[in-house]
Amino acid sequence: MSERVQINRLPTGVPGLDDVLGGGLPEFSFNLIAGPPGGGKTTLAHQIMFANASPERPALFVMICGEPPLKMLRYQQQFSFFDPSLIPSSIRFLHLGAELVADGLEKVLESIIREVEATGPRLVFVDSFRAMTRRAPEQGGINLQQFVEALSLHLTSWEATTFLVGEYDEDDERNPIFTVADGIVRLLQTAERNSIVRKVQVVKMRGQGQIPGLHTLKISDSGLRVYPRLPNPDPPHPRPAPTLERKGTGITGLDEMLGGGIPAGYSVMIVGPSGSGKTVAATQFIREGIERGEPGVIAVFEKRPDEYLSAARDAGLLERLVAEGKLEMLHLRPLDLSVDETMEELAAAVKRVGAKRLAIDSLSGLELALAPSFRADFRESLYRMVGALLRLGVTVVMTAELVESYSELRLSPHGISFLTDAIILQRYVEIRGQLRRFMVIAKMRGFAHDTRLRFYEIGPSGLEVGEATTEYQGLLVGDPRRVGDMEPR
Amino acid sequence: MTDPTNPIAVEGDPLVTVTRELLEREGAFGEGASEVAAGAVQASEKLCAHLGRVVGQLGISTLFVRSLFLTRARFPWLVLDPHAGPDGRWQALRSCLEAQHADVAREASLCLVTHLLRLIAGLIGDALVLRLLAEVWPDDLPTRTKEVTP
Repeated sequence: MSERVQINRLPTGVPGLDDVLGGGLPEFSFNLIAGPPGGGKTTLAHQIMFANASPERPALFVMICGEPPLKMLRYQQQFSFFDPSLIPSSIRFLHLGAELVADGLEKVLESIIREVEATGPRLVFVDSFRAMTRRAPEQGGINLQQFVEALSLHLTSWEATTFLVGEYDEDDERNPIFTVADGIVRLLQTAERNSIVRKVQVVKMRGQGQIPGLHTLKISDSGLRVYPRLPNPDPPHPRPAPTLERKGTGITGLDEMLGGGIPAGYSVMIVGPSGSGKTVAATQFIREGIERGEPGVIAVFEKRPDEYLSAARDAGLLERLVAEGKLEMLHLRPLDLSVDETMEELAAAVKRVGAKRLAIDSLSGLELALAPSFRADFRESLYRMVGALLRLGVTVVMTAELVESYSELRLSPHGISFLTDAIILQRYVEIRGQLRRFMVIAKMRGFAHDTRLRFYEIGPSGLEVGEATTEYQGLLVGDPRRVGDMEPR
Repeated sequence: MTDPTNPIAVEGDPLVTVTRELLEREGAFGEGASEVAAGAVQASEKLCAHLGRVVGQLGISTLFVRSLFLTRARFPWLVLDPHAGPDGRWQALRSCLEAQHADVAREASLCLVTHLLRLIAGLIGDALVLRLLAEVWPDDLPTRTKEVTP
C-alpha cells in the first residue's frame, strides 16, 4: 500500500500546457483562470472541459453575468474542440442571472451547490466569478472569503475539479480566492507596435513543479496552444557529444577548409553581406545531406517556400525532394512569432522528416518575424534555441546578414557569434576594379581548420571555393594590397 | 422563395418537425382552441424555462419578444405586453390563442415556437438547440418525423 496519496492529473487539452503545469491538472483541485478581457479565459475553460467531459466525468459550466451566454455559445462553437455531441450527456450549461447575484453570495452558493448535488459533475466551471468579487460583503450574509471557502470545500468534497474564471490582475492577489485556490493560471496579453503577444503563467499549482516564467500562447481555430519556454541548454538534457563524423557541405573546397566537413552535431553560422551566397551555401549543405540519405529541413523567414524554391538554382530538384518527403520547407508566420514557437515548429519538422540537417535562412529574417517584445531577448532566446536544436541531434547551418564594415572585424550581428560552434565569414573585396568574393573559417570550436582567406565563385552548381588569397593582404579591412607591394592594387 | 413570415413552410426543416412534435406532446394539437392554447403555453413555458437556464433568462425573454413580433406579421392579433412578467406573459398568450378558431390558434402556436427556435438556432446552431431540447423532451424528439396536420 502506498504511503502517499496518488493524485490523478487531468489533461488540459491545450498542447504544451500540461508540460508547463508539471503534468496536468490535479484532480479535485480548486483553480483560478485569471486574465484580461479577450485573453482567452473562457476558451481555455471550454478547451479543458471538452477535453475531459464524458458521461463518467460530466461537466457543469455555470455562467454568471459577464458575457451573454448566447454569444458565448455562438462563438465558442467556432473552435474545433467544441463538440456539440457532448451536450447535454456530458456537458451541462447553467446560467445564473444578475437577479440571483443581486440577492447575495449565499443565494449563488446555494444554487451552485443544489445543481452539483442534483447532477454530480466532476468538473465545475464558474464564469465569470469576477461578477461576485466586486460585491460588497453582505449585511448579515456570508462574505467573499466565506463564500470561496465554502464553495471550495463543497466542490472538493463532491470530488469535482473546479475552475473559477475571472478578470483578475496583480492588485487582486490579496483576494481570498488567490489564497484558497490550489492552482492559478494567468493569461496575459500585450500590444506592442502592430503585434499582439499572448502569454500564460502558472502562478501556482499545489503539489507539483510547474515550469516557471511566461510562456507564449497562441489562439487559433483549434483553440489555445502553449509554447513552453525553452529550457536552458544545461543538463539534464545535454547535447550529444561531438563525434568524428563530418557532414559534407557539397561545396567544392569548403570541406577541405573545414578539415573534412562540418562536425556532426555542430552549429554553423554563415555570415556575410547581401548577395554573398549564404542561401546558396545553406541549400547546398541540405541538398548534399539528402544525397547522402540524410533528410533535411530548411526554415525560411524572408521568403515564402514557393518563392524560395522558384528562386533557387536547383528549383526542380528541391521541389522533387520536397515531394519525396526528404526535404521540408518550413515557413513561419511573420511579425508576431516567438522563439519558443519557432523552436516547436522546427522540432516538429525535424521529427516529421527524420532530419539530420537543418538550415535556418536567415537569423536576420527570424528576428524580423518576431514580435517586437521578443526581439529584446533575441540573443538569449537564440542561445536557448540553438541548444535545444542540437539536442535533437541535427547539424545546424544558420545564415545571417552582416553589413560590411572595414573599420572593424565583426563576426556576427547582435553579438551572437558565441552561440555557434563554427563561423564561415563571407566578404566582398575589390581587386583590380573587379568585385570578388572570399570566405574564411573564422571559428571552429575544437577542431583544426584552414585559416586562409579563399576566393570563391557562385556558378551554376553553387559555390565553388578557389585558391587562397595569399597573394594579397588587407582584404578584411577593404584595403587589398599585393604582398610586398607598397601601392594599393 | 421562402416566406420569412411563415417559418413552418420550410420543407424538411428539422426545427419545424421538432416544434410540431413538442407542441403535440404538450397537447397543443387538441380539438378546441382552449386545449391548443393550454398546450402551446405549456410548451413555450417549458422551452423558455429550460433554455433560459442555459442562455440566460434575459436572453430567452428577449428572443421570445422577437418571436412574437415576427409571428404578428401573419397573426396580427397576437399582441402581448412585452413588459409583462413571465406569469402575465403566459396568461396573455393563452387568452390570445383561446380567442381564435382552433385551427388558427394551432398554426399561430406552431409559427411562434418555430420562430423562437429558429432565432436561437441562428445564434447557437441547430445541433446545439436540438440537443438542449432533448433534455426536456428526451425521447428521440429530433429524429421523429411523424406527419402532423395543423
